[in-house]
Amino acid sequence: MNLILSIILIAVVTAVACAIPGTFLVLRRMSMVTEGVSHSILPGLVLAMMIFGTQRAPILVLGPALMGLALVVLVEAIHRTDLLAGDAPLGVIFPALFSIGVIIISRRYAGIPLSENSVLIGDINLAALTQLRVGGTAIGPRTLYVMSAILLANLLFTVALFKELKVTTFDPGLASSVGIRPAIVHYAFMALVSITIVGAFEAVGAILVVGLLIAPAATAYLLCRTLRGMLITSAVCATVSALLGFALAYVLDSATSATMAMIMGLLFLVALVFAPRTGLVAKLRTRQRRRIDFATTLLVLHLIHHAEGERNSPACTAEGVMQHINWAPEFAGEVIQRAVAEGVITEHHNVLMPTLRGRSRCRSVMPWEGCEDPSIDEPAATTEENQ
Amino acid sequence: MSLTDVLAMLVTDHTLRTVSLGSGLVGVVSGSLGCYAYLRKQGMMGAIVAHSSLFGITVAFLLGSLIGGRVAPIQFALPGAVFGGVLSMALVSLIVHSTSIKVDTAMGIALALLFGGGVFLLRIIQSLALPGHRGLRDYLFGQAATMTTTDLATIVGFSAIGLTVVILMWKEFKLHTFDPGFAASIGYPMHRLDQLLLATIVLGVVVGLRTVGVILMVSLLVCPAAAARQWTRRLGAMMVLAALFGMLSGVVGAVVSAVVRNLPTGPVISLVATAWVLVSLVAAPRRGLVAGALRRAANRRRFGVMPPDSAVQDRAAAEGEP
Amino acid sequence: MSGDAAIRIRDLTVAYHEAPVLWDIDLDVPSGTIMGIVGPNGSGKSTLIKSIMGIVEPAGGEILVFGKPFSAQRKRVGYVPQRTSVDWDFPTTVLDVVLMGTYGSLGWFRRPGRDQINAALHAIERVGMSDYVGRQISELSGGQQQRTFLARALVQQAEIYLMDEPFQGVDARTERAIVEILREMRRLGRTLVIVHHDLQTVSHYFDLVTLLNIRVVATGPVADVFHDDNLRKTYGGGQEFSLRR
Repeated sequence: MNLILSIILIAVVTAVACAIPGTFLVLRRMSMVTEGVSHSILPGLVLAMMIFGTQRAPILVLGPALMGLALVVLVEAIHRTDLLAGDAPLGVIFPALFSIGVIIISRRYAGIPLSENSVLIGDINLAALTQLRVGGTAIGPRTLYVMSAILLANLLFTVALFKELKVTTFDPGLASSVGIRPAIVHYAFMALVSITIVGAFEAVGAILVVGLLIAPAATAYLLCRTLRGMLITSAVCATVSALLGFALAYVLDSATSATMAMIMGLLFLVALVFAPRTGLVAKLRTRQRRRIDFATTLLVLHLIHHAEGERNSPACTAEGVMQHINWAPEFAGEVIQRAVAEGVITEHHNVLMPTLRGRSRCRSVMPWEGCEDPSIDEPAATTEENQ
Repeated sequence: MSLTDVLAMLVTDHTLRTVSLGSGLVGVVSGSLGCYAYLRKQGMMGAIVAHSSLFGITVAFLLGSLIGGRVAPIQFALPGAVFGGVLSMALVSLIVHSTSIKVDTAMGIALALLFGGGVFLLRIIQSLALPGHRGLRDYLFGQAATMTTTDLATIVGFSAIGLTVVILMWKEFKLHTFDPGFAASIGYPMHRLDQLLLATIVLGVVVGLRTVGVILMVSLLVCPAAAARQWTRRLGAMMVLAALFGMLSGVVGAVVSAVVRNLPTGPVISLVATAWVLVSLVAAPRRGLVAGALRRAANRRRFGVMPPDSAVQDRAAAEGEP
Repeated sequence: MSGDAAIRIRDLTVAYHEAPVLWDIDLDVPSGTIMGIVGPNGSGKSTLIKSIMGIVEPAGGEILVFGKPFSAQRKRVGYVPQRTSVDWDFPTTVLDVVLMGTYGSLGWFRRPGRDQINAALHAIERVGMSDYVGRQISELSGGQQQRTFLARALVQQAEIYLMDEPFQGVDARTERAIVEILREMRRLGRTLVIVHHDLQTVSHYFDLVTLLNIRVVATGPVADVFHDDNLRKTYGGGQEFSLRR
């Protein structure tokens, strides 16, 4: 197989394989656990290499898997002693495990492919070169087969346990009551996450894999409202990032994995600013619109308050309103104009009065008090909505 | 090489003296400033700040190379790291405040963008073989052995700033961390203090990057504080102890890696720092696991059985003894 | 005439993300009284207190403390935050927390000295915590934590005190002790505004009460305004609230 094509395929398959469990990691608020698990892969791998005396054998996968488990158990055990605050148990343990890995590499395996650099960012080129051989013939990059299998496993798991994953993610209590055991789903899922990280380690390294897991899913979180939509969007984001990342890295002679992760981060920023409902631009617009809406209602409410309250006329002029509500003259003018145009107040010889329509508008936002028109009696039907 | 040889070298060998002085100072500063990261429960944020500073380092190096001039581009690395660290905190805070995304996911995004971007630029700098690019490698896992007097001067400068701020703002930082609402009620500017405190934490991370590296710097920030917390109930004592733990980690790690060949400094310092935590968890008086077990055994002898959920009360009661 | 009102609020509106939390509120707190603020969850009780102290920025309206804006009167106002709003595992002692009450008058950079420590010890004695001066705060019971907060407020030597749920999670003995201290403070002419949630004790503890639910439903002497009709308006008609058990 063509080397470039191999690299592209590995990049895409790895990115998508990570993005799918990533969606659940984001929703389950477990993003930083992956930072710990991914750092424990290296010592696991190195220790397994020492014990089995080989550098490449399927059995080596036992090392990282057990080490990931050890990290989780250790962190939970320290957490349970209640002696360390916040996320400190994780922050204390994962660098130590990673250090053990790095030290063994530097002392024993200096010069082998597991160099410092490949630990950090993986080596997708090398991964593309390492062929899987069946009976002596090369049938394509080994990593591609491994990651494709993991992608397939992730897809199958997600499809088969979609309902269970969904319920345990959003409402563990409900899950228990309908007979789904959250703990079992949780550990099965975490096992799959660990396997995904182990698989991706070779191509993208220990730290960037966290970005691959989290960033596309976070982008999808901003753009989608359903779980299904989120899964699909994060897979699309991952694919686009992998392709763009490869192209950019190829042109500028940089590392594919790092460029991929960076593009995923950039895609998130684009979504953060421009997303239709949740983006910063959209929010700014809504906020401006709401500000005027809000101010108009406040004006009417204020007028009602004064017209029927103990203090009468002074507040009911435009000047009075400005003084009382502390609005700048231009803003007050804008709000009054708007309120008159909407017919919720009237302006007569510079005296502002709420209209019937204004009163009913207030009743709709403040159902329980103060807004009832003298002629319309009893808001009792609406009071129940409050509380 | 025996221990006495090493001790003798500390006195006679200029390089080793520089290395241990620098690393010890790094430990003091990171350890004491790290107390705030620990008490604000922002340990993992320290990891993200450290990872993200790689972006700032590489950007500064590229800019330094572009500008040219007499200053070597590597000298821009630490100011660049401050920029990268502050950027990651700003990004996380922007995401958390403007969306419903939780803080751990926001940290993952910062990692993808800024560590990814950092490695992206690092590779480009390496492919272009810009002069001095080999020095950047030291920032990954730290390398104390190559520490120069200039590096030492930079560390001293950063330490002076960080420690001065913490001492000057002692009661302000303490009150703001413990009870921000009350602090605001007596007129402390909440956001300004927050920013200053975060900047101080960034400083505590950045000062050690050359020695420990962006990957493992979090150890020197969190571990000394976590260990110190077990031995004391006063913030002042906690900071002094954390500074001490940090200093010992720095010196031991740096000297070992400088003396033994093929050993990056960061992992050694990280392991020593973690060892302090484990020792403290086990052996600290009152809070420690051994003390707890002894107390439970004594209680059992005295009362026959243990009251339920005693672990916490137990510890509280023990700490209460004046 | 604002001389009589310790706190005078006119047309106060507070919004989070343009959604109203407090809407066009008028409120007067006469000097030398104890006023309770009651209302359902989310009715804006804490927000009201925080906006008096300028911690929350109002969208409109005016708040005067003894006739002037809060920023000019900061030292005349003391604050007791909700007990659960802080991390009680913070490495510090009772004395240290109480000393924090002197920080406002100390100004920037200065450390507390002998005078401040004496004032703090005196306040600790007043709340009956003298045996716990050097104790780590994580070892205190809920009631002891609340007493510590109260001592910190006493050290502030303010004229107005704003307290957020000072009886939450405290034992009956502490509750009685706190009430005693509050009454003594009133005798000394202090003004107390207290966010409260236990309707049963309102008429025993307070002179005045404000029923709040985003707007002020009623405010005035407890005997005049604290009745079933107003409670129903405050807590909603769907639920039956009665003062008579």
